[in-house]
Amino acid sequence: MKKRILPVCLAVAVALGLTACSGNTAESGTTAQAGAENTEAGTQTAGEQTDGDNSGEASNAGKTDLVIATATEAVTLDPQGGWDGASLYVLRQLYNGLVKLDSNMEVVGDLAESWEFTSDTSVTFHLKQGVKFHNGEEMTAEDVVYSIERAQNSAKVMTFAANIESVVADDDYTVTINTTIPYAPLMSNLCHTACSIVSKTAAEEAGDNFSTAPVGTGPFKFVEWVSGDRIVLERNEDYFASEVLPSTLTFKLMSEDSSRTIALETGEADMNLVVAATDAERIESSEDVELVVSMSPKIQYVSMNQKAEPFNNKLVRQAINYAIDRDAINLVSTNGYGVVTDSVMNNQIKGYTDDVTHYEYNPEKAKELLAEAGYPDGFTTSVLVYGNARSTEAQLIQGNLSEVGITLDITTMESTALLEQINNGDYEMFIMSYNNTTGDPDTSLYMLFNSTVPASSGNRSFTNIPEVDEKLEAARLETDETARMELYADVQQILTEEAVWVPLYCVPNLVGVRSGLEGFTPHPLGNDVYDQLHYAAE
Amino acid sequence: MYKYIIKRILMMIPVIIGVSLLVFLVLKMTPGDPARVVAGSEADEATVEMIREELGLNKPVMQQYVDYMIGLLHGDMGESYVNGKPVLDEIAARLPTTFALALASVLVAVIIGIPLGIISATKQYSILDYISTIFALAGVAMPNFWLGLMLILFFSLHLGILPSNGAEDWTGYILPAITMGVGAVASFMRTTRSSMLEVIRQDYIRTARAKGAGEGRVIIHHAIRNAMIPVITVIGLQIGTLLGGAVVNETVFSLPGLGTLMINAINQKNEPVVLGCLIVFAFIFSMVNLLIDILYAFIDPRIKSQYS
Amino acid sequence: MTEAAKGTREGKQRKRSQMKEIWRRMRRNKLAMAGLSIVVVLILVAIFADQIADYDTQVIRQDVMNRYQGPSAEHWCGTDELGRDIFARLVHGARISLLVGVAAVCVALATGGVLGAIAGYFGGAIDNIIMRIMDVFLSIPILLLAIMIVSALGSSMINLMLAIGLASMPTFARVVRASVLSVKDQEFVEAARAIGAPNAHIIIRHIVPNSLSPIIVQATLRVATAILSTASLSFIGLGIKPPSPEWGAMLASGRGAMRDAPHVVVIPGLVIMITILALNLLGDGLRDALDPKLKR
Repeated sequence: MKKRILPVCLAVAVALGLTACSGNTAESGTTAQAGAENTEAGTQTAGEQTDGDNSGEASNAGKTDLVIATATEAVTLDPQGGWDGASLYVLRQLYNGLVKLDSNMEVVGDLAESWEFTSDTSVTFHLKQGVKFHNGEEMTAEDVVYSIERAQNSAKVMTFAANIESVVADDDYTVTINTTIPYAPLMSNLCHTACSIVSKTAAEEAGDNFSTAPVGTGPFKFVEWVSGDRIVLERNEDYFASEVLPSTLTFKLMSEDSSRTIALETGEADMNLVVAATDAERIESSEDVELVVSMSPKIQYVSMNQKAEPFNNKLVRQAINYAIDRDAINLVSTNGYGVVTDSVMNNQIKGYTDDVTHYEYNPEKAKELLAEAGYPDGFTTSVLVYGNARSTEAQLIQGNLSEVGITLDITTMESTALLEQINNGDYEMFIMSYNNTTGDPDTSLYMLFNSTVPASSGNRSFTNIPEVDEKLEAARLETDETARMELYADVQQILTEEAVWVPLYCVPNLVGVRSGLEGFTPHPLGNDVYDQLHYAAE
Repeated sequence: MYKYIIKRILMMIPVIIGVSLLVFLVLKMTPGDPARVVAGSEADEATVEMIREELGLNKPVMQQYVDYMIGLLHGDMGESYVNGKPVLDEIAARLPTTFALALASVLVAVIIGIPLGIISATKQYSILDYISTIFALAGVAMPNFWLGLMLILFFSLHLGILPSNGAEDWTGYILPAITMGVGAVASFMRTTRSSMLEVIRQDYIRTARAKGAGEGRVIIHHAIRNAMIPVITVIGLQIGTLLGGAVVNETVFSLPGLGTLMINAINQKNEPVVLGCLIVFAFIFSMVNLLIDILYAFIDPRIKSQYS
Repeated sequence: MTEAAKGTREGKQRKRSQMKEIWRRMRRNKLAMAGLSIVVVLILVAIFADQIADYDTQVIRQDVMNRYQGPSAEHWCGTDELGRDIFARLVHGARISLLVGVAAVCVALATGGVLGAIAGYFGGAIDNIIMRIMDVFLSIPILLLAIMIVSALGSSMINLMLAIGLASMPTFARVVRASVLSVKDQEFVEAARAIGAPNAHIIIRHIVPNSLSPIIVQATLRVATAILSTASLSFIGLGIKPPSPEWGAMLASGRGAMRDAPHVVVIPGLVIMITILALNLLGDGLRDALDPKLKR
């Protein structure tokens, strides 16, 4: 009996193993088996490869297939489909806008050769001629009209096409944009990826699938998107602006901080877009890799719910500002690469001023203010956070606040639930960062602090200061740039005096690159285009 | 036999329905408005309300469930709230990675666990027995994401011989497979050990010995073969643990599998994707156990006779 | 009357000698004894955590200037990313881990155990329904089920216990059901039934004590699993609220610095490993001691 059973048993066991691999000859499943069985052999091959990479920059010279490690996966490659940070990195390589912000934050032409304001509410753009989309078609005024209208109609990016009344193609290479009001932030908004120009025919053809079949005019063409793993782009040989140096660009998703750094050190990646603060020093001190430090347009802050007790009391908010040791937080979170700021706006944004009320770290002063506000013994409150890094910050703040008698309860939540709770005003404090993707102060200040803006669109602190509202509206209509910036400086002072936030620090942009990789110049807004990346020749 | 197989497959149907209902209800309990996810944080209430309507999120929960199940029967798992891609495509893209990883881990566990079990059974109560036991137990005892980090430090960074992440070729699976496999070694080792101990005491082994067959021959030709039968069950049980472990380890090793897909989806409140992933996980788990039960029925006539 | 009294006394004596026998077998098993000692030490540490290290001045006390310090006379296990004393955190972490582990098992036992007993005792349709529901739970890997429940309930210590407990419920249902089935038809149960004892009485007085040993073994092993699951959940950010010094959370928050300050990750990792190892050795030892049939 047993004799008969055994072979059957073994045969079926083998079959079981192979069912999953869909047959002995299938390629996909069997790789894993080989992986476990031939560990020895594999070890050697991999070793040789890495040795090759490690044997100096010589082997990197001339390497044009570049791998860029990213921390989060892009959500969409459709510029009108979203603007999360991870998507922006890739969108910048695929598309151009009518205009762009140069490294001095000046608006310069991109697909537009030139433009002129024909009135307060009307601007005419003259397009560059002979610009080709990735599908070989020429970019014309029709595509521009289509793209801007597409942005207006997309719930996700419509804020960047706000107050546009109409987009008109005057001829094949001339487009006029009319706004409903004299709208100062228009040009900054047009620089945003949300107003990138897409190919009308390709977008109409792809419909909802444009995100996975993107066609733009940018330096790189889309090749493939392996969900959860990588997005591969290749050189656009016909790029209108310059010669594109990398032959391929692979955005490789590595969500673990240490994985990205290790991949950079071992040469698996040529660039790590998001270096964790704890790894920064190591990268800086290594010979094989370099750390490129720049400032991002992002600000890390603590928001307080001004609609509810106790934070409806200005004295309490000021006390919190005095109680928090922002230098310590900056040290822990950014390893000191960040810049502690007094203003509620990032220091990269036009119109930033540090000439505002300064709250030094002063627990005694905080206690006094709390007593004055009627909380001599402090109180119990809570902070909502998302993610490990912010939980660490929350713990630091928890430690600070306990010294002035405030008990802080930390609630970590997943991002969507967190946002929803905040938008509903169902919170006391939260820690978040704000990324100003246009570089215009209007985006930071109007969206976040104008009382008419709903929480879901940005005013999550429920700030309601009539004077701020007035100045922000006035600034939108002010066409004189100096006068406009003065208005924003006033607003920053009022907001700081009112202590609507605890601004923590301006977030640094820490990028790691392999030694010898040139052509990476961080843009103040993070609008990096990688067309000039290359390894120096020996 | 066919009757038995068909019966077992039919028994899977209520389980899958149960799983989907359970998961569906739990997901509906989680805070956060999915319509808001779809609309994006910038959208106004009217837009959100419109999307809610469009997705049928304002219908009663049971109605939504029935709709979902009808879709599922047609092979439609809905669309991702975040990027609008069909969930089925998303899962299909990730499944091979997770499957390869689970399979490779089982192999690692088998390759280490079974020999250890044989050694400790044949040399019961020897120092070798103790060492193997402790080694195997240490494998379970280590939080395996921690082991993963340690392996990356040593093999990827210190020695520089294995990639720390990614699944571009099979070398990327080595470290994660070891990480997860080591956790499963103990089950294989223990089962092998106890089943070997049992087999060794059987009459036919004594007979073989009495006939003068060498000890090595007895073990290899008679004992091991028969002792392997219960070990097959362990594969079924371990697949569940391994699939769960994959969720954590795929993150550590940046592997594009179902686990990372699901964790991201949970964080983004991407309901259809979470639902789809869990149903697929449960389906695989049930399938594996079904296959093992069938295998057993082949081997053990007593089980088969219950059904015929 | 006297007969009955005698019977109980004899029963007690038998029980005592049974315990002695189990203990004697346990003592012979060196690995199990090692496991037992470690578990006892951990329990003592958890009980006297406040005496060993003060919570406010050591466990949650931050000192950012002295973060990532290696082990020293002042900080036996070094300091973490906020300059907190790792030793003190591990000590208090023992309390959390053991509490979550034990509580989760209690939840599992209270739900799964009862359901399993009912299923086993009554059999038939009830058995079928309960076990099919358990099958549903069983077909989702435990960690995934726990992740799902925690993300629905929100992450807190209580929810974590509930999630992990509910996730391991079916295991207990199966174990209890099996052992109930094995004793259900034995003579003493039949006898009790014959004299008309109520079902609850039979289950509590006769069936439960006789199916205790597999439950004890399973419970010990499950505490280990629960502690590991807690650590895994913390690692993916679904754990206990900071600044609670949960072991898994310590690993998760320290992993960024694991290369410059390996002690931040290595030490908590080892502590988890030793704890789980000890519980497993103890569980295995108990199994051998309680069920002599498994041993030669």
